[in-house]
Amino acid sequence: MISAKLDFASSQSQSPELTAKHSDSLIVVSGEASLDTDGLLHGWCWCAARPGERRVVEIMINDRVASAIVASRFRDDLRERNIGDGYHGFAVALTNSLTLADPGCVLSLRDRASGEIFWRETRGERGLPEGLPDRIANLASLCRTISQSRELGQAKARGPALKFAARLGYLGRYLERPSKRGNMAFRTASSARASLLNGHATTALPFTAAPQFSVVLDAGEDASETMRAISAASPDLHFANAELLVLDSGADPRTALLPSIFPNLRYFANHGEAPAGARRHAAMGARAEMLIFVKNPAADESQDSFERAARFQIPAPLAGALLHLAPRTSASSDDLRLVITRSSFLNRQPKHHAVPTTVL
Amino acid sequence: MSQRNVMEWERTSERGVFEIGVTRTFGLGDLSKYMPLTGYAAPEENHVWNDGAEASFVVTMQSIPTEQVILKVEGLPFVAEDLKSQDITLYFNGYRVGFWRLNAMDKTFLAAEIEPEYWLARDGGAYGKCVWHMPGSMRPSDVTGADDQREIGFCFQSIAIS
Repeated sequence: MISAKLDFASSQSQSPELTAKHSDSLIVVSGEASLDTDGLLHGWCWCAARPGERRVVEIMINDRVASAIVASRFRDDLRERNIGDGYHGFAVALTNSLTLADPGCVLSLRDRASGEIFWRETRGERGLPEGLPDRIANLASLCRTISQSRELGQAKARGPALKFAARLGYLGRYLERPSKRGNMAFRTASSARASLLNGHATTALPFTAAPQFSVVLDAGEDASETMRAISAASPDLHFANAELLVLDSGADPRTALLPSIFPNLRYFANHGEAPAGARRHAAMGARAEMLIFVKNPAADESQDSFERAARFQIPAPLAGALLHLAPRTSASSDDLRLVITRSSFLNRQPKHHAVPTTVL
Repeated sequence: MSQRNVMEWERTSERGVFEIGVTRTFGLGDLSKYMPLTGYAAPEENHVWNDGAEASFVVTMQSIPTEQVILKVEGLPFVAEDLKSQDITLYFNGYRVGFWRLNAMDKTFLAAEIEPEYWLARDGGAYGKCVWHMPGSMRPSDVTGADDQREIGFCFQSIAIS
C-alpha cells in the first residue's frame, strides 16, 4: 500500500480544462494499413462517431511526422464493410522516406485530431538466428582462448595488447554469464510477444496530447509484471492526463516488446547506462512539466537512491495509477517516487517544489 | 474534434484551405466536393479530369508562406497511340511556374516551386490561382474510339504543398 505521504487533491471535481482536453482524446478512431514492398502505404481511417469527417492521418517514422494525408479515397471494400460512405481510404508513397530512415525504424499512423495511433509496424528483421546459444558459447570460448593465448600473455606484451586481452576476457565472461532468469530461451520476437501476453488482455494506453504529468517507470526484471501494471494503470493515467515513460535496463529482453503492445508508450532503453543518466534522458523526452519517477522496489539496489519524496498534491486518479505501477511498496515509501519539475531536473537542481498540504 | 472544430474544418474545406505537408485528394471524397474547379469534368471517386484546354482551381492558405514551397500534383496524362505527348504549363497567379512534357500514361508528379512573392493576400490569408494550360487535350472518342466526349489531358489525383 502506498504510504500516507500521498496528498490527495479533491477528486470530486475535475477542471474544465482537463475535461476539454479529454473530449478530443476520447474520440475512438479505427483504421488499417498495409505497406507494400514498393513503399506504397495504403489504408483507411475512420471515426464511427463522426462518419462524415475525413480524418487527417499523420505518417510517422520513429515518432517524427514524415507527412500527412487526408483519408478521403474511395474504396469499394470500405463501403461494403459499412465503413462510412467508403471515402476513408488513403495511399501514400514512402519510398524516399523509408530509404532515408534506418532499417529498423518504427512506422506509425496517427489520427491528428485525436492523437490516436491506430497502426504501427516495426520494420527490419526481428527474428534470432538459428543456433544462437551455441554460437554465443563458441564466441565466448574463442574470446577466452585468445585472451589467454601465449602471445598476449608474453612479458613483453604491454599497453594496447594487454588491454585488448583484458577486454576479450571480459567479453568472454560476459557472454557466458547466465541471466538471472536462468538459461534464456532464444525465440523470435513474435513468440516472445506471445509468451509475454500469455493470454492476458491488455488495456490500451490512450494518447495524451498535452499531459500534465509524465510518469517515468523503471521497468523491473519481469516484463510480464510490468505489462500488467501498465495495463491496470492505463485508465487512471488517461483520466489524470498523464503520459507514461518506461526505462528499460535490459534485465528482461521482453520489455523491449512493450511499445508494440502499448503503441502510445514512451520507451527508453538504458542498457548499460547509469540510472541517473537514463532518468535524465527520459526527462528530456518528457512532455509534461511535472515528472513523477516511480522506482520498482525489486530493482537493483545499486541504483541511485531517490531522495525523499516531496509532498505533492497528486490527483486521485494519478495516485490510483501509481498504485498499479508500484504495488510492491514497503510501508516506508520514501524512495518510491520523486516528484519534480522537468526544468529543475534537467538543470540538475533537484529542488523539491513542495506544496505542503494536509497529509491523510 | 469539438463541434467548433468540425464547423471550422468544414468551412475551411469549402474554401479549399491547404496546410503545409498535408496531401489532399481530388475526387468526391475531398477537394472536388469543397473546392471550386473550373474547366474540369465531373469529378469521379478519386480523381478528376480536365475538360478543355485550360483548367483552374484556387489554393488558399491561412497565411502567406515565408519561404518557397513546393506545389506537387499527382496524376497521369492522357496519351495514346495517336497522341504521343501532353504539354502542361502551370501558371500561379499569373506566374509561369512549371512546364512538363509527358510521354507515357504513367503516374507522375508535377512539382512547381512557388515563391512567397507569388501569393496574393486575400481575406486574411494567402490566395493562389492555379491555371493549367493543356493545349493537347483531346477527346478519347477522336483518339482511341472510346465513348468519351470529354476533352481530357491530365487526370488530377492528389495535391500537396510542402
